Amino acid sequence: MIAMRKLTYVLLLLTICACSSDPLDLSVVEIEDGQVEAVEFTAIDLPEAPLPKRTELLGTHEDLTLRFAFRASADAKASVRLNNAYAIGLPGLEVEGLTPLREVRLSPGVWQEVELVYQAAASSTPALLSALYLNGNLLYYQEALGTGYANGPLILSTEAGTVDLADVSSSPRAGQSSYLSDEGEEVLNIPQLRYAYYDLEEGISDVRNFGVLTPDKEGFHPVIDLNYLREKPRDYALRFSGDLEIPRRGEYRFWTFSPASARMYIDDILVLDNGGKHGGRSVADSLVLSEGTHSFRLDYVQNTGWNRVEIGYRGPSGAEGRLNTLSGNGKVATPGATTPNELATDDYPYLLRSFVYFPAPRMYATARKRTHAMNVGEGDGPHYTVDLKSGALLQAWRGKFVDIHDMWDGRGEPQVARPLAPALYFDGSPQWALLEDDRSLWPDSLTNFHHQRHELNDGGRPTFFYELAGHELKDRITPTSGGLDRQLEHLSGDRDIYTQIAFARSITETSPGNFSLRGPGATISILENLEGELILQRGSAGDRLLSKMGPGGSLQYSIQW
Amino acid sequence: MKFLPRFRPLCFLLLSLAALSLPLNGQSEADYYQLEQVSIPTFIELEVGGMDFLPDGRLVVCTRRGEVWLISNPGPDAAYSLFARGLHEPLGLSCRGEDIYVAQRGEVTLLRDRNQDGRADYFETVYDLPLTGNYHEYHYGPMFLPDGTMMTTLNLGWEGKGVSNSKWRGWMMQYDPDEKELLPFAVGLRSPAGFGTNAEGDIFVAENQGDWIGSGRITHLKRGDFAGHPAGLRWADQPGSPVKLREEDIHDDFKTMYAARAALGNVKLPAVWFPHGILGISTAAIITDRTEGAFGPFAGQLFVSDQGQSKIMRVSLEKVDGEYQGAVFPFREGFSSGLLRLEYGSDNALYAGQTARGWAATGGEEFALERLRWTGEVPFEMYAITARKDGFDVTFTEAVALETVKPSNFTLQNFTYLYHHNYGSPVVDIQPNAIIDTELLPDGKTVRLTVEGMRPGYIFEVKLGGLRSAAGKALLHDFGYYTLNALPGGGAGDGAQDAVAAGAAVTAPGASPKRPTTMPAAWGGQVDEDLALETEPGMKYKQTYITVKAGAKVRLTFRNPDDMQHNFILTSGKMGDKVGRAAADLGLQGLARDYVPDIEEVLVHTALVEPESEDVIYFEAPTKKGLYEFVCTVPGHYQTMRGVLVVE
Ligand SMILES: [Cu+2]
Repeated sequence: MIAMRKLTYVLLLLTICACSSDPLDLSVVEIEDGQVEAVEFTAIDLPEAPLPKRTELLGTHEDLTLRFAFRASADAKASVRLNNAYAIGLPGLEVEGLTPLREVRLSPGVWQEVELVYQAAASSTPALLSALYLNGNLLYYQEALGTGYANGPLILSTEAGTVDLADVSSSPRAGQSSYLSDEGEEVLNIPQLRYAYYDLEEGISDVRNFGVLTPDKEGFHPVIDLNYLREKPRDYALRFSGDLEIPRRGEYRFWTFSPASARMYIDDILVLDNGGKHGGRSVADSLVLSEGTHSFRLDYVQNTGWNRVEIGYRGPSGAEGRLNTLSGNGKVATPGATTPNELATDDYPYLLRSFVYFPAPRMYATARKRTHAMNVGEGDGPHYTVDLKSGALLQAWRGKFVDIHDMWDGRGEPQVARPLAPALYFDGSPQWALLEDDRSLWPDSLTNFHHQRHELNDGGRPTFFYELAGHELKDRITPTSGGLDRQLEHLSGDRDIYTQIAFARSITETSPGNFSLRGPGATISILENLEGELILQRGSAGDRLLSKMGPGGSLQYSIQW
Repeated sequence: MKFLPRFRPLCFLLLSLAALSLPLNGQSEADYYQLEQVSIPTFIELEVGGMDFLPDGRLVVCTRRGEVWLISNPGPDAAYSLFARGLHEPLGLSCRGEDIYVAQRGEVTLLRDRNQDGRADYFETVYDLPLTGNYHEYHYGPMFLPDGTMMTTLNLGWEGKGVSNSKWRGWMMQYDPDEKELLPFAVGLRSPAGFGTNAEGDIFVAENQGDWIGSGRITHLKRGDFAGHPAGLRWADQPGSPVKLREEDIHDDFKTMYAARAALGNVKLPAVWFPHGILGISTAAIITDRTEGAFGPFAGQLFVSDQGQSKIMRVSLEKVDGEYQGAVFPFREGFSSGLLRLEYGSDNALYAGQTARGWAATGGEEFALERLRWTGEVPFEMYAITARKDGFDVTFTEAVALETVKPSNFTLQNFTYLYHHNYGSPVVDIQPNAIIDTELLPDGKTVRLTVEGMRPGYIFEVKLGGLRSAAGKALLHDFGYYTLNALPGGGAGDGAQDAVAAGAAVTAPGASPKRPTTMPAAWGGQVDEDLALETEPGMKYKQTYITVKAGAKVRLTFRNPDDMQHNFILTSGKMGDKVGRAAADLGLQGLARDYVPDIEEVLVHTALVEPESEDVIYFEAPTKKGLYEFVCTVPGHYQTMRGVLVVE
């Protein structure tokens, strides 16, 4: 799809040409990259900066997926208040009563990205922070915020210092609902499932009176993940319920597989009856569903030692999929090892080759791997990962190095090394490219790019050498107190080559050679630019800072966050 | 739910074949070959992936955790120095002068220490490979040939079966450093963890039992060969491919590889089959004895290591009709861990690099480095077997006592394996071979056997009775297996032909009395306990402690999401070891009987369950309260793959 859009590439605006030879001069070009904003999200307009002490971002709201970038001064103390009741602290993202899954260490003055999924309280259920990601790193998951009912507005409240917000957008949903794909296929998903968990006495083979039982725990979870929710291997029951959005009227075929008792209801009608004691077996049935919202329920009784239930569907278009259940094929990102195996750093840089998940995986979302990753760790960092197949700097983080549990304990999937602290994730597209001109679109991948070698200096730090279509390229990354210094060199070649300094949703030149990035948040300072020209491509998906380097060119910059 | 067909031989007469045993007669393998530990400091997890010697005699070892160690004085007081770390699961290493080449998952890398501080500071990508990120895409080698090119092998991925989802998976590759060109060499590989050359310089690759691979084996590979697993043929139409076969040419209907070769031409038959569970379960390293006698009487023969059974087998080869075939014999067992790599030192000792993580090994240790030395004593052994049109010549290491050369001291039978998409194969179409005559040839060391029922395409078990050397020595080992791909001088022999292809020799299994697959009518459709048992990678059950009420009516669902076969046997108490050993003693019959021994200690059992499938059985729990061990009796599994059923 993206490739086709590239073919329809249209130059929109003129180039502001850099006529002087000052290496910090910047050319700004507008490009048509064909990227469109996710339709579900609505931008929230902000008042002029500086923001008042109390800013109403949204009026009275219910369920919410909220994205924003923020930047806080060193003395800032502020909060985003969901329903004006539940505070997410800024800059530290503290939530009363909760412990984040990862330690948060942020630098003042640098933009940070937040995405949170919030489920408003209902008459019988508490408000829920379904998920909160900081720069793509999961900090909270499925946490109850409080029992009181609240329906206030969404407020940014600043008590001290300054907090800037940008790129605020929201969707009035808590999770992904069903939709029709570009190809017209029905994709079904219940954005949030309520569950009730019942501890059973031994030997109960079926439960038909859920209505009169008192759950031992209740909550919300986006996926029917028995192993996540259960508290013992058998003799429990779970009732899941939620709203199933049907995107198109027609006949839907549902199936379920389980070795335990499972009954699936739609609009309170028993559609799939796999109840009682039986071996692992599937049942299936079809029914016609109208477009719109239908109630979904699954009554599950764990009357055997095998914890498994899958639900699948086939829509009117013939599209098949899973309904909120795990397929078990190992390609779905999971929270990571419960017993991490930390690869500790020492006084010599640790260069660890591995698979890594990239882009940063979201819980229960399909994960993609980079297979030729080099993780470089030293002391407390910053540590970083480069992709030797593209030359790209993928991620960087401070703190502990990586969890190698998936690689060094046992064998089998997924064989990834995971950063042990929140990472800053970059764009992941190739570091180098041979472009027609300054307005050409940056490629997604390269076929003729090769890592030739890397060399270590006496301290053990690496310099990477690459080759692209006869161009010899060099890349050296050095950790600093504020981030990373990077030197990129075009050692030889017969024409100019482009190298990427950064891609972000927004890049602003703050002074010659200095840039502020948002999405991801960082600042960049050009330290040296020999035989190079700086170019800033502005597109609808974001801005890309490039340097066009002649043979012998050398670019040095620092990236700080 | 999927039940894959399994096959059993018809010739039940032979099912009671005595277990193969070692008639040690007071002698032991250690009398001839002594095993010594190479010390490993406690802080090093030396999970050996590859190893080789530097010209100065230091041993270089790369580990599955990505470390490269230089080991001086490899023996009881070895000294270790870290040369490099962080490589991506390297499973092969070769030294070329001071240069060290390592096969990482995604590339072959040249490592150098340019500032001479003892640590690598130069890492050159010799060539790189695409990867999908599947855990099973391993990379082995490189092995340098005399012409300076290097050979590597690319493991298939695993997604419930062997898959080739990135280019050249399932192939042996040849890299030409002068042209900087990586060329496909041969295909049909599944898990080619080890390969080497024989004395003539021809390349042999080891293969493990799996889908399309009935049993372990070694195969001679020439450019353009297809060795049996079809997944890699996906790339056979790509530029540079020397292979004309296509994936769709390969199907289950041939029944045997021999028949597939007859139909398709380019199907390379294994030079030697290693019967699964008897001579290994996971063949790995292949090395030729190039010591010219310093390692004993087997100069020029091949040694093949086994990861799962912690031992080494020995192979004698001959060429018949232009192709290699030959025999495999036991050689030395008792290593400490999974024996993945073999290398001769300048001291003519055979160094054994070992790792067992994720694949349990008989030795029991997670990793080990050991060496094997010849004591100078020559064991009385079968040295080689060569085929004749009407029988075999069996040559011994020493002169044979004439009075022991008689037909009653030789027992022969032959069998083959199925060629199909299923995991492994039972032994099928077993036929006995009558010994017509035995004759001691003038060299005094060779016994000529004239036998009935010779037939190409079959594996011949040669078992010896009370043979003695002229000096009165007893045999150290008394059996071997000869793979007869072709009869000298051609022809089809006088044995029963094409029995397997005709479908006559195999039959589907049924429920056995101890494997009740339907609910007893007396239960009235009700079970008291629905138990589930699952396997996990690394030869383990997920549930190792299960509680039931005495006498409960139990339905057990045994599910196997692992990448190899497993079974479940409930024993009559703390009988896991006894049942496991009895299963190992089933020998050739093992797989055909789902590795279930016919002894009273077996209470109930499941079928041998294929990867990604399951079996359901019904039984009443013992009425006597207590602990009942259950085990998986697939060869090499029972020591680690076990649990306890607690009857309350
Ligand atoms: Cu097993």
